[in-house]
Amino acid sequence: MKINQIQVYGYGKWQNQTFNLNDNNLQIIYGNNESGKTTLLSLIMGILFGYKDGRGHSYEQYIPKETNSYGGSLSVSTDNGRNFLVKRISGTHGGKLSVYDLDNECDADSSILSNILGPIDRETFEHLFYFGNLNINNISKLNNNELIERIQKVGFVGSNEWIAINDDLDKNARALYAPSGRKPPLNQKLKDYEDLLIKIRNSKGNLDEYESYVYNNQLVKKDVKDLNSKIKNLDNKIYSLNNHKNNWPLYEKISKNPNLNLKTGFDNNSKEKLYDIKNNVELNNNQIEMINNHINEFKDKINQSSEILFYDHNKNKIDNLYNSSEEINKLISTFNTKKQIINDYKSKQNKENNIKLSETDKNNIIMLSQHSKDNNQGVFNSKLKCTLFVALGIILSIILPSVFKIIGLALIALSIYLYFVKINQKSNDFNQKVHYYKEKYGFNSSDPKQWLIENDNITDNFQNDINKYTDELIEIKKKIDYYFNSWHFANKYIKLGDDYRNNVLTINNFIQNNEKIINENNQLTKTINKYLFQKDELVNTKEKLNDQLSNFFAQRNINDFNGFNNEFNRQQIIIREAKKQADIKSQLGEREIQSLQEFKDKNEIDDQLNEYKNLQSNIKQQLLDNSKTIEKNKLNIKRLTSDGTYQDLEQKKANLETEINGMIDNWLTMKLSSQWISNALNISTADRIPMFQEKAKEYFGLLTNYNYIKITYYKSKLKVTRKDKVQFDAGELSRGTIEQLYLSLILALAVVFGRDYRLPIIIDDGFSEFDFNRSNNAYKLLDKIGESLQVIYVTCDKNIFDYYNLDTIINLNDK
Amino acid sequence: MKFIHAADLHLESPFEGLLDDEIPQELWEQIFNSTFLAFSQLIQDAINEQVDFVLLAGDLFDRDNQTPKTYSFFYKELCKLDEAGIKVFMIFGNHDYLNIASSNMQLPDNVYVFGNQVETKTFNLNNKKIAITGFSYENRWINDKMIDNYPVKSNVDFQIGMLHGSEEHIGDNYAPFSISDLLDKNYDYWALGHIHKMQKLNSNPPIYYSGNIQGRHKNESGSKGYLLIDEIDGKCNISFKKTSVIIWDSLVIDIKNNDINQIINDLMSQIYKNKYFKMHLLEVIFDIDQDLLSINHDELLTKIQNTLREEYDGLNAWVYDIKFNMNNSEPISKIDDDIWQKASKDIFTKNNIMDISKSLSKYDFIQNHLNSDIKDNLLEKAKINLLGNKGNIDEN
Repeated sequence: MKINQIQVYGYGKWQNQTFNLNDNNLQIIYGNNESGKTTLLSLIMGILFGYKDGRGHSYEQYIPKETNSYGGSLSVSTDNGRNFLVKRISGTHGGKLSVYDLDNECDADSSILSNILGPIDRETFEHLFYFGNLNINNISKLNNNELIERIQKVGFVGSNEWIAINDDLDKNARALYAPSGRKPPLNQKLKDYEDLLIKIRNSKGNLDEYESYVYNNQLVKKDVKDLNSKIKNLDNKIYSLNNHKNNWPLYEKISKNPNLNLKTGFDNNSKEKLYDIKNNVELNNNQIEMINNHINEFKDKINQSSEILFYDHNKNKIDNLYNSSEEINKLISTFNTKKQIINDYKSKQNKENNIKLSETDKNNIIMLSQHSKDNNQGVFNSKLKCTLFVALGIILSIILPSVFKIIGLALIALSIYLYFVKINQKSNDFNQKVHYYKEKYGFNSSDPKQWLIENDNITDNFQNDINKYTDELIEIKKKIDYYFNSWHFANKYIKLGDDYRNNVLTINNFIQNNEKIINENNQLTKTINKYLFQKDELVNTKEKLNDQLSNFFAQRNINDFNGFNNEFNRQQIIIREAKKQADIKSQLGEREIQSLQEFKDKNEIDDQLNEYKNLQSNIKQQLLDNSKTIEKNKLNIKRLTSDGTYQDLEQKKANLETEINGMIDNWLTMKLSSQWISNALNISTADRIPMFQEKAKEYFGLLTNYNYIKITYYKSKLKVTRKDKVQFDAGELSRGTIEQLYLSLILALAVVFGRDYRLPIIIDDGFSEFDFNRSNNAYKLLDKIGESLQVIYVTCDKNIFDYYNLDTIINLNDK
Repeated sequence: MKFIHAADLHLESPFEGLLDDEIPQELWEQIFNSTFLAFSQLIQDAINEQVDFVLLAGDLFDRDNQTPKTYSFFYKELCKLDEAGIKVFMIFGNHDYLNIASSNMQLPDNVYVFGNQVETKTFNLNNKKIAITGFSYENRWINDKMIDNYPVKSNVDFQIGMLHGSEEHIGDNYAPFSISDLLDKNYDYWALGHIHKMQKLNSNPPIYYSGNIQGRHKNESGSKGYLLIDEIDGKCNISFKKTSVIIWDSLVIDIKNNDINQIINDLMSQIYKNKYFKMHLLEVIFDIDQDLLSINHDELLTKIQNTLREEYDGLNAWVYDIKFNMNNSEPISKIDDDIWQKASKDIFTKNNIMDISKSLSKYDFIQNHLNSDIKDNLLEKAKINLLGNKGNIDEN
């Protein structure tokens, strides 16, 4: 690429300026200091690589103050003969770029610039193609060895800057850490770290302390457990002793030699048996007494009067007499009858004028008595007729058809009716006639036949009869009187008179009364006998009971009831006592009694009780002490387990390690970067010097009037060969020669790179310090370089006009 | 049969990768409690799930740093299992190593600790004969192939192997074993400890690392927990149960300009969006390009932390560090990138790093740090550093 024209719109001191560059490659730009040389070079690089923006940047100074148009354009020719206008004005990211195709007079893609520049960026350009005067000046400040060092690394792009960075890194690394230092920060941190380690070590004893507390606690707890079990044990013992103490009075009541001498046969059963017998005896006596009473009572009831004794005594005689009483009664009746008959006869004799029945009446009455028989016959006839009619009716009603049945039934009803009417008629007639005759003749009876008999008797002869009956009556009277006289022996009890009937009654009463009494007496006697039989049985029982009682006493070797009771009561007392003892024993229990037996007396219990109580209170005190120890240990354990100091310190340590490692990383980065730079420089030098050593040899020869003919690079060492074939290390050369070697090398490098990336070489006042000869040689070198690349040489050296034509030079002083 | 397999509790062990002054005190409290809470969660789950036993496969705490607090806590938690009638089988690993014979460590009756030689504990469960084989580290360094001492499955219904160690090819040489070594034993389940990330080495029979129950640094990111094994007729149903209280995570934020307030806004809005349920310790990685190298790491981190200080509790997030990540293809120099890359290969090596830092090698933690794979990080850092420095040099 060749720059043909520079147009400035506004950049630093330059505004609306156009600089046309030579057609040939070498362009000298001359100007005094402050004439705008560097500004112009800055614009060129600004257009190609972008203006550096951002505040505080050195490029700020180029922003024009009086105009708005910032920037400029370059008219360039490419290696393949194309022409473009590259324009960059103010804008973000290094300014607004545009490219114009001058050949085709049209806008072109701005990427064309990138294609032209290839991999060369501002930085690379500055390193390879731009040689500022500062560089040379710097070189002049270096001592020979430094310069040679620099020369040896000249093959590397930007070696000077890298070397500067390297120095910086080295310095900074030393500032961060010095292996044997004390003040650098990393050294201080390491010291802090060691202090921290000591602190951690000191706080570490904690675990042992903790474990000792835990162990101690375990021991004490075991002790506490033992003591507690002792206390419990003593509690039990004290409890037992208190029991013993309480039970002692009861225990004392237990007799040592219990009297258990009990004869048999005096127990409750025996007593029951005895009382049973006794009760039976009493019952038996009572029964006997009762029966005696009954017997006496009944004996008293028996009739012992003189009459009954008399009666009993004369029983046979009386019975005999009484046997004939029947006959006597008949005689008396006959006597009375005959006496009546006589009386009747006598009264009939007094009534002669008795009415006789008239004949007519007598016949009528005979008829009436007859009629009562016929009457019965007539009823029978009517009955028969009726029955016949009824039967006919029934037959008719059965045989005939239904209409005639009614006739039959009517016939039946009619015949029954007629029958009853006839009967009534006849009966009424008869009764009226009887009534009539009864009234007329004053008959008592209503029977007509009786009337006929009475009428027949009226005509008897009474006197004969009266006589006859009177004789018979005297005879009967004799017999009766005899009988009654026979009863004379009993006249004390039987008072007889003339009235036979009364006499009979008197005798009957007498006999009946006494018979009754005899009967009663017999009944009583029977009852008494029954009682007597019962009494016999009871008496037998009584004997048996008496035997039982005797046996009972005999068996027990006692005499009587009192004997039994005495023994029985004595035994009851013994039994009660035994029961009381058993109660006490069961109340105390076998074991308690055994335990109590071990004590002599109550005092012994008390003594032991006090002993145990004292022991227990001692143990309780120990327990209290242990509790305190446990609490203390617990507090310590809690303090230790909640103590985060160690963890805190450990974390601090980790943090410090992080910090230190971070610093080490930084330190290492610097150290390694430094090594990296050195290594890269060495490698690039070794790689590249052979590439451009031919060119460098040519330039070096030119600059030294061909005093030196060869540059070699071997094992990282640069050597030169003089024309007399003597080889020198770079260090053996004069100062001026070394500078020329350096110039040869950097320019050769630019030209070699320029073959691939054809960009203008810009030299900003490079040879201003050179003497005349050396300057001339340098200009020759520029001419030489100009043969292959555009060279823009900027200088304030007036001598340039001696060497170059004016048309080769742009004089900024004129602008 | 139901049991829990957990390991690497590392109770009370500090969180790594944090700096002292940045983190609010309340968050420190959460961090201090996290391993304890995670273990309590496990214990509560065991009781709720009514498991038959719990396997703890080593590294339960740090023997050298054990404190009364941890010891007492651990003891009390195990007592809870004892009360619930849940057995515990324990082995000790390289961090909680113990000479079992001479130790008077007190543990509840339900806990069985395997001795320093491989031994098998057999017991009956629901009419089945169960055997568990394991051993405890006697000291920090057990390099022998202890697996060779494990017996082949005996005449039991279900045999479990407990082993704290790593596979041979890992190369850290803790009771090394190979999967085929384990398979040869014919066991029904292998409960492994030592590796902090849950992983399955084999399906049938199951060979598992349960991982730790609470992540303690950024390399233990994501949820941590234990394994719940539900065995039915010899078939194991294995599920991972989360216990971690605090989760380590990283968050990648793409930043487009160097306005620090804008960057913080973007970050905060991303944190809001993520709606963290549990407390997250975040490392934020800012993807940047070369132009933004002027952002100062410490300044940005401080501003982020100042912003979060009032809100982290509600957001469940704390940014403990930030990192700038540059597009890897970004060259240090466009022309010489091949040279830079070539040069880095000689410099960013472990040997070289060790060589440079010889004077620091007396510190274990530094040694460990240097031994860990830091060279790529350092390279990345160096690159950013150099590019940044280059810009600065230009400035000057």
